[in-house]
Amino acid sequence: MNPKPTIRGEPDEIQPSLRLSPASLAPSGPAVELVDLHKAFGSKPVLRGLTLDLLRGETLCVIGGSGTGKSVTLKHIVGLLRPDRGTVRIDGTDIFQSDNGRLGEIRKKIGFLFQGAALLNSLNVFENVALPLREHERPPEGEIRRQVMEKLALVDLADAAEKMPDEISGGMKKRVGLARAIIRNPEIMLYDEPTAGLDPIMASTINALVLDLQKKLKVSSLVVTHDMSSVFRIADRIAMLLEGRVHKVGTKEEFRTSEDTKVQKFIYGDSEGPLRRDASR
Amino acid sequence: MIQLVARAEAWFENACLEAGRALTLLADTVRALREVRLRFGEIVNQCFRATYGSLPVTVLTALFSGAILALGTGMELAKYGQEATIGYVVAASMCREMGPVMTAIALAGLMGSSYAAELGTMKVSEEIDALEVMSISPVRFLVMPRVVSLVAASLALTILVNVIGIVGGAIVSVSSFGVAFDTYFTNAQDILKLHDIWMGLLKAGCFALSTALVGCTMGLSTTGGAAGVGRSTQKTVVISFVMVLILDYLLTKGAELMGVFEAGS
Repeated sequence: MNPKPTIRGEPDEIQPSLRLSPASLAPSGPAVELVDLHKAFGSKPVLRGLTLDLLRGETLCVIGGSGTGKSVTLKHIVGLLRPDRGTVRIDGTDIFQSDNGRLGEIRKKIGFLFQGAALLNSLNVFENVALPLREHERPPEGEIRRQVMEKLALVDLADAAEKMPDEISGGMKKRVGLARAIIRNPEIMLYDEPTAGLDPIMASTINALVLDLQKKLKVSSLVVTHDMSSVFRIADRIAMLLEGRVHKVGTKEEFRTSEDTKVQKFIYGDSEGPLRRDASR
Repeated sequence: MIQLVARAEAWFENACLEAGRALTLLADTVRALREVRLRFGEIVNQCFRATYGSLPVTVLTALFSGAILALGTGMELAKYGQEATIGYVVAASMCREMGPVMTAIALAGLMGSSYAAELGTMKVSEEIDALEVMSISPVRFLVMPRVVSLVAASLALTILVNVIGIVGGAIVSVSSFGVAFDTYFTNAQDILKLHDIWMGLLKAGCFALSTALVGCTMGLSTTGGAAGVGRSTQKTVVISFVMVLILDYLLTKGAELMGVFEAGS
């Protein structure tokens, strides 16, 4: 374990790589700040002092074993869960100190791709993607159609606009979920297992979309995933969670060359011991 | 014994928690009423679903309720040669009590459970979470249209049930007791006062409000996958039935205390 000083006086597990460079902080600070999050369900603690920043314009992949609190962390960012201790700041605003109206405004900046897509089953694909526009901006119907079809074309689903969610595959649902998440051009994108259950080609398409969004719209993305090939393709930085805390944060290269056996075991999927392979293959 | 007390305490605590959730949902629904115009299409859809979906059950229930009422009272009244007054009994009973209660029971079984199952499934499949993340209030989007439509549907259905129940009573009166149609309906008309109709409709509205709120509260607080949806649905039916009877008593007692029935008679 690295003995170097930690930031914010947090536990030793938090690595110096979490520290933000002055350059990245210069314009307006991190897009999302998770500060000492603690959360327990009943007697089972899930988050035990998680501190992590999502920098503006970066793609941060959060990895870790099942039950380490990855999805719970995402739900804290959008205020679906309240921490027992600690807080979340979006663009510097503490979301748990905000009233419902302010929280609603903050949420409008965020796109969220749920693991199971979470499409509304009573609405067809077009209506699902159009829903945020119809509920908030309410532009003319022609404009809604143009924007929805543009986003559906982006995920290669323009032909499925009139289909109901139970008529399309899991992978298609995920792509519809992505189209819905980006329909209002969010500043922050949260992905919960975006490539889980997808075939390699579709997973590659989703990865390309994540990269494209970051490049074109300068979206700050936080991706929770187990898919290490995706991680090494899309991440600017990687954060590994262990027992409800950040175990290591660093660049792809830092992870590849890490001597930490826990990191090695996780990224190479080895149940026996650390393996050193070329992660780029 | 201590375990029994602890269980009762936990049950009471849970009941208070759910009652609190339902009241909070009621307050949020009232606030969401300003969006009635915006959600008019969905309200009409839900209203159609509630009325059309419940029509066969309510019509049959009403017809046989009126018939049973006429048969039961008719047999007793015939002993005193008073069978001509069956119309009084059937009309008053249907409009004051049986119409609203029968409708409420049918709607609790059909629509209350359906709301709990629908919203419960949406909750466990993260659709409710998705709405919240999109800054779309589930109360405005899902609950308010259901509550408004169920209240409206229950008013329409109660009027229909009252009419069909009285007709059911008339069929039995004529066929089993030889009462003339004219006599039956004249008596029915004589006994019914406007306040009977209004009181029945007020009850119907309150029952529907309670059923819709219970169904939506249970649905939105569902946890635990498919089994959780099943539990929410079951609890909705049980609580709604009990609430209909409790509210019926309270409203009837309230009306009696305010002298509604005496004043109009």
